[in-house]
Amino acid sequence: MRLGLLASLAVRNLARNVRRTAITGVTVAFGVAVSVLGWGLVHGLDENVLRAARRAAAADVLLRPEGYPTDGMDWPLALARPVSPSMVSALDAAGTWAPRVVASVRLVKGADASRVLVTGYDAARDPVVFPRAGWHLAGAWPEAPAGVEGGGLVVGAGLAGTLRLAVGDRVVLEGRTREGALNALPFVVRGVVATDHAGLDNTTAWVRMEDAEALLRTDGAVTHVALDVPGDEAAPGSVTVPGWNARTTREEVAETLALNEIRKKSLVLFVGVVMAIAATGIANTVVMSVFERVREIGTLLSLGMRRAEVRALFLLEGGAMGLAAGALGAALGTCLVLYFSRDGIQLGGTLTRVGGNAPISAVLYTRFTWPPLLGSLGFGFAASLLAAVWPASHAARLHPADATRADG
Amino acid sequence: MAGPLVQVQDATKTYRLGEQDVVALAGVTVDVMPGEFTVFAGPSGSGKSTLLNLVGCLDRPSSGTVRLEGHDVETLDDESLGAIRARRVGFVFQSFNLVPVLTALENVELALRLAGGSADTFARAEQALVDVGLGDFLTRRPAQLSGGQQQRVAIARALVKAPALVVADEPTANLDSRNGAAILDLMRRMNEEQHVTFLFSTHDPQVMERARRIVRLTDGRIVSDSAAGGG
Repeated sequence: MRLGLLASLAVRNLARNVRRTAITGVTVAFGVAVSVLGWGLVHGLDENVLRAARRAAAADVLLRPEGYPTDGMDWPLALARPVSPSMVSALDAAGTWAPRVVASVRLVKGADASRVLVTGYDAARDPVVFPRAGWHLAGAWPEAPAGVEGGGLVVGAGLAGTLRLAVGDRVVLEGRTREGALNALPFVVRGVVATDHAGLDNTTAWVRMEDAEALLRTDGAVTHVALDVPGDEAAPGSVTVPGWNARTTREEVAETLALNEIRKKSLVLFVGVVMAIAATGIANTVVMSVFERVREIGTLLSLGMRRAEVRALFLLEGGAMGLAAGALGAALGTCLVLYFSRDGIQLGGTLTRVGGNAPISAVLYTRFTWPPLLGSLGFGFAASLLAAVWPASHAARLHPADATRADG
Repeated sequence: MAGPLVQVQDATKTYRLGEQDVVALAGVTVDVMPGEFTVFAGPSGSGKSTLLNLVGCLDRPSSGTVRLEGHDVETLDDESLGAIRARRVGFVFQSFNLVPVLTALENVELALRLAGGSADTFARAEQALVDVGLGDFLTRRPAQLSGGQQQRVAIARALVKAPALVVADEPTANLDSRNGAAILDLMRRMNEEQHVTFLFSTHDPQVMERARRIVRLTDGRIVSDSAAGGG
């Protein structure tokens, strides 16, 4: 087979109808770009969940007192326990850490009230473990305990939206102390925050640890300790503290990661549909090309071109278009994936409103990996080639005597 | 004396058109000797183009035999017929049938390359175009050439591979009389200089005036076969 000759003819034929080739090329490029971006989002889904949990709730390892539930449905203050000096030493040796007290309380604003999770945080340690980079804060974090100038609380953006809370509003937190007595403290809303964690933003009010202790009478006991270890990710079982249950971030979000597998399948289906549309475009272009060039095909056959070569010519045209447009789409998709892996896709309030308490980032980050890029490129090429099979076979079956007299 | 270049023996060709069989050739017998300049003449539907297709290895007879340089056309597969067409048969079509994305030179080269052309395809293609008076139009594409010029390119393409036979199906039908005459004179000159056999199907009087032999067909049968004044 004279591949050089066929390739040269194929390229020239693609340039014959620039407009049609361009439209089809854009379709394929779009399909491949969407595929690459889609896969970037698919791979970013897990990353988003992990990032949300790591940056706002769990750091690398989250420790709870033994017996403390991990289902996120119950927050028993009775199980809170103090961080012992030996534990401090162990945690200091392992990395940076921050204690938290989490309890379910009522937030009252005038006649409105809602159950919220109050999170007492250590004002010195918490920002070290959770640097709050990328969080959007309206107002400020309280610089002093409640009741003192500059004191107050910060509410999540979703919660603020639900309760129509704004910076400067006065609210009351009502809850039961560790011993079960009712208690209440007035606060001024100092800030409204959108973290990386849409679930927290929907449910949480942050107060300084001393305010949490004043409200909940915890006497130095805490319900959670978030530990940030050096390196990328803590290995399961790498941190053990007697009397405490330690789970890595990945273990914390295992259920959500499992749910992501369903999301991934949906995305794959979507990407498949886009590529099928692109393949239809290719098929249309090659079919049109065959029907317009019947006489030319007859001429090539009469000049001695083999039927297999005629078939190869049209397959090459489809394949070349798929490859060129696919490369363009892959480049575009890769640029988008790289851009969004750094800056993220801001979902704003959308996810905050629908996210429940799931550890889903309000900023969607993509993740670049080579296999989807090569796979999308290969799929674009293969789809283009497949789309050209029927028209190419039709061209190769033409009868030379009839074809040389055709109108086209 | 050499034997016939083309031998057609009791050849028939029947097409299926919907529910009906259409007889295009009904038992044609004719021989063509090397170097002939022969016309198959007749009205539309007489079977002249069908006969030309059989002789040019573009089609096979329904029955009977068609032999080109000793090859039985009806027994050869598509691949073999294609190989014969590539090397031994040149074609000149009514609508020129040049590949529009190729220049004049590339169109001629294409025929050489499909014939399994050697390294000097460029030089041979260039010479073929010079021979038909298109030395200054090598890089023009078909759309940049007049009808007469395009048909000259087609003639160069047909002759460049030194075929045994050139079949020309209504080669002047899309040309004005002046260009038609010039094309025919060119083919006649090639016939005389290169001793290439030319077979035409036409009802153009200009062609018949230049033919040495005219085979007339009506309703798929040969009704006369006679020498003509063109010789």
